Amino acid sequence: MVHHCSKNENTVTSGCILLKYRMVKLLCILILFQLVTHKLFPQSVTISGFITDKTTGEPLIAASIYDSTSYAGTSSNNRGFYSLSLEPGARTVMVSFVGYQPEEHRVYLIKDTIVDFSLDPGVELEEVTVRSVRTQSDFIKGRLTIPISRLNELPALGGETDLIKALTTLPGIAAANEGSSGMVVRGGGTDQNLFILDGIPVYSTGHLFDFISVFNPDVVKRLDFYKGPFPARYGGRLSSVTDITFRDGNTREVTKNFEIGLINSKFTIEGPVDDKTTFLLSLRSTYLDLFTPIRKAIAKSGKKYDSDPEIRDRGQQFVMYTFGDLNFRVKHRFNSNHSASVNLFHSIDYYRLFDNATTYDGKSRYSLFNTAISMKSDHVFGPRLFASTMLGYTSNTGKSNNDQTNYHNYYWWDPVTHLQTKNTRFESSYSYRQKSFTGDIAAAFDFTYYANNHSINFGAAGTFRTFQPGSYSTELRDTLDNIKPLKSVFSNTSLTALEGSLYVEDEWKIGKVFRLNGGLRFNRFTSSEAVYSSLDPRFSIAADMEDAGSLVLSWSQMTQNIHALIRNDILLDKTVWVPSMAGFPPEKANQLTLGFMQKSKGGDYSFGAEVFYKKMRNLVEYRINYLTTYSFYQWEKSLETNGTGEVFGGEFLAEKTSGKVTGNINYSLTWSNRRFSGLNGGRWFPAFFDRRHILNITGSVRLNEDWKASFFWTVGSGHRINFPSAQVASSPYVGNYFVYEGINSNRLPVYHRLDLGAEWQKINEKGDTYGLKFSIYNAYCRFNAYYIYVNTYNLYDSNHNVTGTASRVTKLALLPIIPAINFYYRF
Amino acid sequence: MHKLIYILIMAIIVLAGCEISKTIDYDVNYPPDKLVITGFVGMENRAEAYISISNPPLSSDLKILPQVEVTLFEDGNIRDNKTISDYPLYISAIDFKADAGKSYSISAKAEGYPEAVSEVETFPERVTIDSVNYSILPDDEILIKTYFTDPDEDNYYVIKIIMNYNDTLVSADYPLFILSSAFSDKKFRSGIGQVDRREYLRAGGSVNNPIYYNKANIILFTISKAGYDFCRSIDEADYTYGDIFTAPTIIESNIRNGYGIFMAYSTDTIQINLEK
Repeated sequence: MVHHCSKNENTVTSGCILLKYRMVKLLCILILFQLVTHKLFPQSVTISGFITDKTTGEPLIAASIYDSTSYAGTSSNNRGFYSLSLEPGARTVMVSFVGYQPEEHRVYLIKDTIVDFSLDPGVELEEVTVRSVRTQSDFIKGRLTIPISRLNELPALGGETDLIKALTTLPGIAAANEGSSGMVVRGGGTDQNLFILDGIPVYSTGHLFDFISVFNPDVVKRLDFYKGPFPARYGGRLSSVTDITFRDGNTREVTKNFEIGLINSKFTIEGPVDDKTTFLLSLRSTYLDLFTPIRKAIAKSGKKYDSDPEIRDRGQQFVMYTFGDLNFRVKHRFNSNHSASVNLFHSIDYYRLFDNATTYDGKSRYSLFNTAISMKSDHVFGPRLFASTMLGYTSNTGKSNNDQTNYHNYYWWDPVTHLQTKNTRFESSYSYRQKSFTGDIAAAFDFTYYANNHSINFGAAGTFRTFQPGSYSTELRDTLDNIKPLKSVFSNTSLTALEGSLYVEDEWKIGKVFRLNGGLRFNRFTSSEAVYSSLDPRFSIAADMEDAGSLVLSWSQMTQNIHALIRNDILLDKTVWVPSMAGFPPEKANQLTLGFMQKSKGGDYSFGAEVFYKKMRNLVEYRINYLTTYSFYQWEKSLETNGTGEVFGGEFLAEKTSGKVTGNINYSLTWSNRRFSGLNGGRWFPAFFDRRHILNITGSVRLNEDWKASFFWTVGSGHRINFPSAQVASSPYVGNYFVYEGINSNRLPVYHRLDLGAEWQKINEKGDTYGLKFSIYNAYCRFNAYYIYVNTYNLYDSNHNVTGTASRVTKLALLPIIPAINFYYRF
Repeated sequence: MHKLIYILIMAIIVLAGCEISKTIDYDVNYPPDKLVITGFVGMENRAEAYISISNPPLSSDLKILPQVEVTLFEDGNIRDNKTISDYPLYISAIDFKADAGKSYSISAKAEGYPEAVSEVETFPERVTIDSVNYSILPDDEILIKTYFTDPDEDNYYVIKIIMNYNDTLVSADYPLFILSSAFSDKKFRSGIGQVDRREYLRAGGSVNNPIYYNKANIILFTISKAGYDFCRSIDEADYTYGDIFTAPTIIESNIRNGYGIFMAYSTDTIQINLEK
């Protein structure tokens, strides 16, 4: 029976009341039923846990896990933790990771469940070996990942595998110079790249004047590289982020690995302390100066004060160079939800030059120290919330000491007899000391919350920074007058800054195809003179059409609060950092990218292309001028500020990722320009690292059970240089001067080289692995210009008399061909 | 297998003996040489210009211009034309006086080189000296303070001081003025400009009978923006001179198909008597 209840009635009939009561009752029953059944039979349940390597127990980062029915999936975070929401019931879960045997597991889900997975490393013979630079998932996230197995396949300079050099084989990333571990990413400067080692930044990344990076590949589990778009959890640099994760150490057994090469050797030991604790220790050192002290002791520089013109000023030079680094990690797993680790990284570079002759003794010492210490704690708060906290310290110190003693021998002559009457000998000496320092104390809290189709990252960080751009002292003395030494001390004021940041980002899967990633990063930077706040949005939208490919459009803004005092017309061997202050606001970059990636049906091949546009502002450039008596002293007066940068271009990558033969070919086309009001008449000029074309081809082949070979070939435009186009002779009004078409208007010659590598490996009856690695850097000995300079030489007549001087431009080729052989043994 | 390894090891050892670095002559392609005009025209004054040829950067050759035709334009019309040979300095006709209301440009033509033509230069408004005072300093020095009123628009100046003793002894003079002394009105925009200069007061004589300058001519040049840009860039270039690979200072030029500067200026002069 239906009763109609009119709204206009002033009183409600008993029938209407009854109907409403019944409707409410029914609604309550339905709601209660929903609640009960949802609790008993939830619409989604969460499966979470850790994905690890079966043989070592190491967590696997970005391992893929998905439900083969619904294709709902996720990937493990950088602690190996995953969380996936699925419909309850019987599920078939696929777990896979690059270079590992994929696994299929059937699970029956009723409620939130913890399931850990362990994967077997893949067998690298005829079977599929996936060495992808970029999975489709990575592409959508804007991430490039270098599997460590791939690193060891690339031919190495001096036999030393180099993480940063491996990155420079990829599109959009170029080496700063011949053999350099400095990096130029999408036309940005070498100071615009952030390197994070287990959560703490590292300021100086090169040994041996940047020929080898400080990152020992033996301790690296994974390297994630971003050049745009950028996740909101990263900030502080404009062009790239390299996030390096340490290995935890083998949880099953103690293993050792040592390697001896022509340039350096290394030793790594790792293993369990007990069933909950692991350790990893790796040492690396060079012995380039092993024989120099012996040579120096044997050599004779002659008597001091010797006036014989044949041997006077005949000098002997001895160079001693040492570098080394240490990596140490201890990790303890309190229980399945909580673990903590302590990480230590320390690197040193020590260079000494002895220059001795009869009339002088000179000694130069240059040292560079890098330290990074972090303590981390990871905690799983239920199946959906993962937290990580970090407390750390990082520092970079550069020191330079120069001492020179001159031996003077003055003769006095009688003007009448022309005989020597007196001989005066004395010493004069000069000492110079210089030091620069940058250091941070940092704390960070990062959380990841996994909701249905959402992966929400949020966190906070605080850093206290100290800067000492340079302190100098000089001392002059001599023994003739016996006067007090003349001392001078110059010192830049020590600067400090406090930086705090908050971020939140959400990766949202919309259906099977679309992914939306939105993030916001707030940063506040306080130095002694200024306070700067920034709000950096990050946004990307991706369409993942599986067989049809993936399309990504992204936009991000980055802020860099510290500035490097580097000159972009030459390469300095040291980077000194200063904070943003009044008059030097933080540098900013906005980048827009559009990319496409397609994998072949079997997944063996992939093709990708990206175009990008990057606009930078508040750039600074350091100029040496007459105000700078010493490098970095009074640096504020030597900075050009408020610069603008514009970079645009495209990148192409084609890759074969599996099978006996793998490799990739990539090409970059880039324009990079700068403008400063005080430079080049305020007009745009090409950036120093404006290399228009770069083509890289990498290949590796498994020849048989014992042998594999690889090659790398690169060809590209040389980087820019300054060179005058003309000279104007002096006139009655003005002296002579050089005419330049513009800053960086010339270019070094085309750069190309071929690197070859081969590896022979054997396993003995005990299961120990040993082998030899061969590499030839610059195999066809191309004389690429490291830099060019003016060489002035004497002109002679037929009687060998000097008639004048002439000048010519000369290029220095630093690395014609470098062969290397390394022996390793793992047991 | 082992044989292959031995061969590879020997090859590595042999190759490791190769030299690490090598120097190679590098051919740089220079643009063709051009004419250089360094010239000036002063309000109610004559025009002059020194014409030369540029050189490749590392050349020490001194190229001589056998002959060059110089044309001075006034409001777009030819005002003077001369062919000079022996010494490449052009000086305008003796009866020529630049007119405050007109604009000027100059061109130079020589066989084998493209014609170099300057941008048109207009005289800046003359700025007059309001007052000058001085104070005698120790060590035979004098501090001269010059005051003037800076107009509203952007202006660029040079102060030149010529010391004088009874018109018989004059401090060292130089053509026009020292380019590095040019300055802008940034510090005193539209206000009172003040420039302090130290000069040496002693003109000569002996230790016991020194002679001191008793007059000073203070000349305030108001120069064009093109002229100021040239002067400042020449001054900055001096600091990096010698290192041709460092980020260069671009020498500003208003000469098309050539190098150099053609600058317009106006002056105001005041003479003061000095008493030591």
